[in-house]
Amino acid sequence: MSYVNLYLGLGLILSVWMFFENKWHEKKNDDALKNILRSTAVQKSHFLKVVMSEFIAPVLFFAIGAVVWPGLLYLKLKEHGSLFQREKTGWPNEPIFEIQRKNLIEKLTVQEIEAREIVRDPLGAVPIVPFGHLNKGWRKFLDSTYKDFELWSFSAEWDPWGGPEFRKGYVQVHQGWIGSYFLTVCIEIEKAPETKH
Amino acid sequence: MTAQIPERLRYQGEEYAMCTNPLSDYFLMGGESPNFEMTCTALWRGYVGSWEIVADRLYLIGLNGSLDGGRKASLETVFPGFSRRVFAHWFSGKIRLPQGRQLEYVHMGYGSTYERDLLLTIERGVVTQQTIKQNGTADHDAPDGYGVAAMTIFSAKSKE
Repeated sequence: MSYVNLYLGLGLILSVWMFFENKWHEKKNDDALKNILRSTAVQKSHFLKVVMSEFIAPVLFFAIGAVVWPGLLYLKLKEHGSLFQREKTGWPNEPIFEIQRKNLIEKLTVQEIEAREIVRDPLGAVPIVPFGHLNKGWRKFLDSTYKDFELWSFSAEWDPWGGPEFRKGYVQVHQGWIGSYFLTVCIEIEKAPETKH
Repeated sequence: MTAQIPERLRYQGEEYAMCTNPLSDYFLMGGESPNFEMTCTALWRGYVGSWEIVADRLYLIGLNGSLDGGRKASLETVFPGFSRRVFAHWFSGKIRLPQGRQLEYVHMGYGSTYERDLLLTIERGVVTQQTIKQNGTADHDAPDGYGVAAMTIFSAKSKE
C-alpha cells in the first residue's frame, strides 16, 4: 500500500509541477500575435468554458497524471532533449552576398564613376547627380570606410533563398581586402524550365 | 504568407495589376526606407505604388501606405522634392503583368498563375522588350483578373 501511495504521490507532485510550469511558459511566451488574436476576439468567455478550463481540466490532469506520470516524465525529458538539439543546430543561415576577386572588373576613380553614373530624364523626374535618386546612398558608401581604398566595378551571380540573382555595382578594395559594396543592378535570373523525363 | 496586393501600372492606356515590386530594389540598393506599417497580411511591404510607363520609361507616380505612428506615406516621403513623378532608373529586371482568367490560386506572394503574363524587360528604368507568355486556358467560371482571396486586417485598436 505504501508503494502505491509513494507512486501516486510522486505522480501528483510531477503533474502539479508540469501544470504550473506550462502555465508560466504560456504567460512568458505571450507574443504579439497572441495579443492581437485575443484583442480581436469578439466571442465572450462562456461561464461553462471557464469552469472547464480553470477547474475541471486541472483536476483531471492531476488525477490522470498521478497514475501515468512515468509517461509524462518521458515526454518532458524528450521535449527538453529536442529543445537542446534545436538550440544546437538552429535555423540554416541565408547565404550572405560576397564579392570575390574573380568578380572585380575595372579599377576606377570616384570621378570616373560619377561621370558615367549621372542619370537624366526628359521629364525631370530625377536629380541630375551621380546615381540619381540613390545619390545619398552613394555618398554614404564613400564615407563609410578607409580613405585610401580603391574602387572597383564588379559583376557577380549568387543564389540567395529567393532564387539566383545577377548583381553589378562598385566595391571598395583596401590593401587587397574586399570591403563594402554599392549595388547598381540587381536582376533575378530566370530558372530554366524543368524538363520532364 | 498571404497572397499579396499588387502594385498598379498604367501602360498604353490600360491599368494593370503589377506583380513586381521595383521599390524593393530601391531600398536594397541603399535608398532610404521609411518604417512602413503592415496593416494587413496581404500587404507585408506596407505600401502600394502606382506606376506608369511613358515613352518606354518606368515612373513611380503615387504611393499609398501608412507609416509607424499612423502617418500617411506619399511619394514625397521616400523621394523628397519629387511629389508627382519619380524615374525608376534603379530598376532592372522583368515586370510581370498577369492577364486573363485565373489558372491556379496560390495563397502566397504573387504565386497565383493566370492565362497570360505580359512581361516587360526593363534596363535601368527603360523598357527594352515586351513579351507575352501563354500559361494555359482557364475554366470559363474561373475568376478574371488578379485577386487576393483572403487577408487579415489589423485595426489600430488591435495593435495597442
